[in-house]
Amino acid sequence: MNFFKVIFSILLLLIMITANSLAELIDNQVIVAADAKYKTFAKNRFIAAKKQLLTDLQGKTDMEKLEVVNSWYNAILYKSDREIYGVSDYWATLYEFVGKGMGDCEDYTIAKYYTLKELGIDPNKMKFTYVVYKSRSGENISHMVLSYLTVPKPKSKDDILILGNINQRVLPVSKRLDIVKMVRMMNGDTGAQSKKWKQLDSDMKRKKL
Amino acid sequence: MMTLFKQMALAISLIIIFLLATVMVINYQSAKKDIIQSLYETTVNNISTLTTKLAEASSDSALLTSTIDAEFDSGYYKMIDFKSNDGKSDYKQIDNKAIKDVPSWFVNFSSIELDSVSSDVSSGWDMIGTVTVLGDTGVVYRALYKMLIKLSYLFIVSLSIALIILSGMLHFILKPLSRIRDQAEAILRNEFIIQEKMPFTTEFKDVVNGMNAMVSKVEEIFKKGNEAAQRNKELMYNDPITKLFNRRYLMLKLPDLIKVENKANGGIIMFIALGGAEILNQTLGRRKADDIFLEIANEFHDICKKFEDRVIARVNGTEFTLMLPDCEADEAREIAKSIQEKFAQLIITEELPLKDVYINIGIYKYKPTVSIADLLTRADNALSQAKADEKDNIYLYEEKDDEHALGKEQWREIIEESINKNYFSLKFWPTLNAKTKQVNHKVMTFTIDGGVSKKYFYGDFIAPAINLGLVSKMYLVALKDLITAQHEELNGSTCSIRLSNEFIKDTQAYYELSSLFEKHIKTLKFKLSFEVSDSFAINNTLAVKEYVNLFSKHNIGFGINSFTGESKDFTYLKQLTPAFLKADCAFLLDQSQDSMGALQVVTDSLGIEIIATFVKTQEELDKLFAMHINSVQGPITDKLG
Repeated sequence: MNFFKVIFSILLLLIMITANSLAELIDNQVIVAADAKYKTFAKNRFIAAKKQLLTDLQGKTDMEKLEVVNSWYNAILYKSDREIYGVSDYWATLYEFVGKGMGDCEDYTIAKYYTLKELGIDPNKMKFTYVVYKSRSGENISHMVLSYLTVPKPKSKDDILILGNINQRVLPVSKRLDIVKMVRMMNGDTGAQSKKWKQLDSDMKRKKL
Repeated sequence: MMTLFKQMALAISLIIIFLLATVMVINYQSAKKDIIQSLYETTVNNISTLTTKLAEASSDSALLTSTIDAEFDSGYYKMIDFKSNDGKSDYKQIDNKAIKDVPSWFVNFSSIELDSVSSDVSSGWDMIGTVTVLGDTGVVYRALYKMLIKLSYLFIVSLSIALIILSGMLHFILKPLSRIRDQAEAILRNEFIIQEKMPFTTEFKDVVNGMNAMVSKVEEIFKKGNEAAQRNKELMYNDPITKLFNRRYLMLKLPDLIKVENKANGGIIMFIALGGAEILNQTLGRRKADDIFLEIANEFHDICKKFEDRVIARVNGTEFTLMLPDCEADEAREIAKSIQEKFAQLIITEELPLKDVYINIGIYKYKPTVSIADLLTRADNALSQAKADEKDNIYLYEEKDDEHALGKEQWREIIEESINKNYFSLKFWPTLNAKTKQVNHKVMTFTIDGGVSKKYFYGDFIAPAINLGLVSKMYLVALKDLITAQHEELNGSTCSIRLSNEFIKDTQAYYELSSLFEKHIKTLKFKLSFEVSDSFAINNTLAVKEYVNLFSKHNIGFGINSFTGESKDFTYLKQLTPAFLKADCAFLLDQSQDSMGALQVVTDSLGIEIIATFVKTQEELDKLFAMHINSVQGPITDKLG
């Protein structure tokens, strides 16, 4: 009797773990919760993201995926962390970003990263990249973009594509003369688990809105 | 009061807890120091690379910001603060969020102060600014908290193991002590136990040796006293030749024998006189004649062995008296005949003339109400009649029933009604220490009081109750009344109840009494004590012992009454360990100094108090005082109290 109980518990646990790993990036629960917290527009944004990104892009090429995801998120309003969250630096989850309908450069990067990963793009090809961006007025600005490596070991500036929120197109580094300096490239959730990444990862898993 | 075991266990447990707690605190403190130190060292390592990077980025404040962000985001930092010397490109990243996975009480409790590390940033010879880095204390809190939990588990586990081992060891070491305690308690109960098993601990061994020696000495004293009492008693109360009791003993014992509760329906007194004793002496010689007397004595015992309470005495050289309580007239005649036959056989064997050497037997069947004077006179008359009757030499004089007395069925009605309606009215008579005037205990007796026409004294109804087999029922009702109803005069004192022999013989009564104790003894406001008659205790030592065990289980006292020292051996006192012996004042005053001394050695060695009963006069009291007997009962208590 006990033996069966144990077997049953293990099975149940396995099912739960699998279900969790197979959990959709945007499920109905998130949509309902977003409706409750951020009202109809937010709900509609999630429904749109689910359809236009996660459903319609299935089976498309990597480039098509990059293009659509990049431009879809770039349509969201830019606002600094201090204005939204009242702190100097905050890494929002995809849900907070889409839910609020605004965010800063890190939030675009995070949202694009998780969406592309969900669409089956190898996370090791995507890097969180700290850069210095030169604005049209000639001012240098600290900035973050998502880099996509077209080959595992890039040899030239043509092999790295930049998904940013200032220049809204997907372009190789060689074409992005406004990016004057690259400071550091970091892996996403597959890289070294820093304090910030640990926090973000756990927030993403519990779908923090 | 705490046992030595508990005290030692408590003390050692406290020491173990203190030691373990100290180890734990030291462990925790040193771990805390190590973790803080290691975090500090990591921060120092990090700042050196960060300084180099910042030096490279110093030309551009955006690059500087980006570099600091990248470093802050990819590591474990509480704060990275860059202060430029020109004040133009200051930048600070700080994490003020609450520490996760650790309860706030722990954060407050451990309050970790981490030193920040500062370093100058310079590009070439240009001093650009200073960077200050503070490591993430959350790491320390989490590590310490995990450690505290582990240490706590370890503490509980080690403490449990230590306490289990401690308990086992203490039990093993102190085991002899519990045996010593048992022995000490046995001594307090006047039981003699010699401990055979010697403990290995030196101190305990000395104590056991000492106690064993003490017990042996007391036992030796008891033995000597017992032997001396025995010798003195024989000198005083026994015929040296036949070992039968003598006249002195018979006269002393007679009042007790015909006391109402010792005989149910009267009994038989038999006077036996030898005719032609001088022929016996002359023909056979004194020594051979003595042998014949001894043989006669043995025959008496043999023929009467059915009667437990019999008293056989040789009242003078040629006369014997047999007291047989509860014996019927027909039975007595049979006994008399067997005695004559046995005697005749002896005479024929010795080739003596039967017509010259013969015995006369006068039998008197007495009623419970007879007086001693009447008893002796009528028995004597019967003997005279027997002597006059040359053919038979046996004469039976039987008392006719009193016409006014109540019949058996009338008594049954009265007693059963009393049992059902509890007509029993309890009376208490004090036993005093005559010197201090303190009440030693109160003796309970009861009467029947069922209205004007239904008043009877204990002496009236006890004999019919015995005959009807209603004694135990009657006692149980009275005892239940005593235990459950309020008797304010008893509060704080001791009440002693004389248990009738019939009650003790009734096994059902034992269980009922036992369950009565179980239910009510705890709420009782006075102490109980029970008494059993001496002759019954001698002949039924085992049955009485069972009651004694029951009493001691419920902390109830026990004593012996109607003591006449008739036993050949006082070992039964050792077995029953009564708290007191009650003896008739007349018996005590009749004792020689030697025999009283021997008796007192026995009672002293067993811790038994002697109480004199039926004390009437000041003169008797003074004589008792001279014998060191201070506790008395009887009419004198009215004058004293």
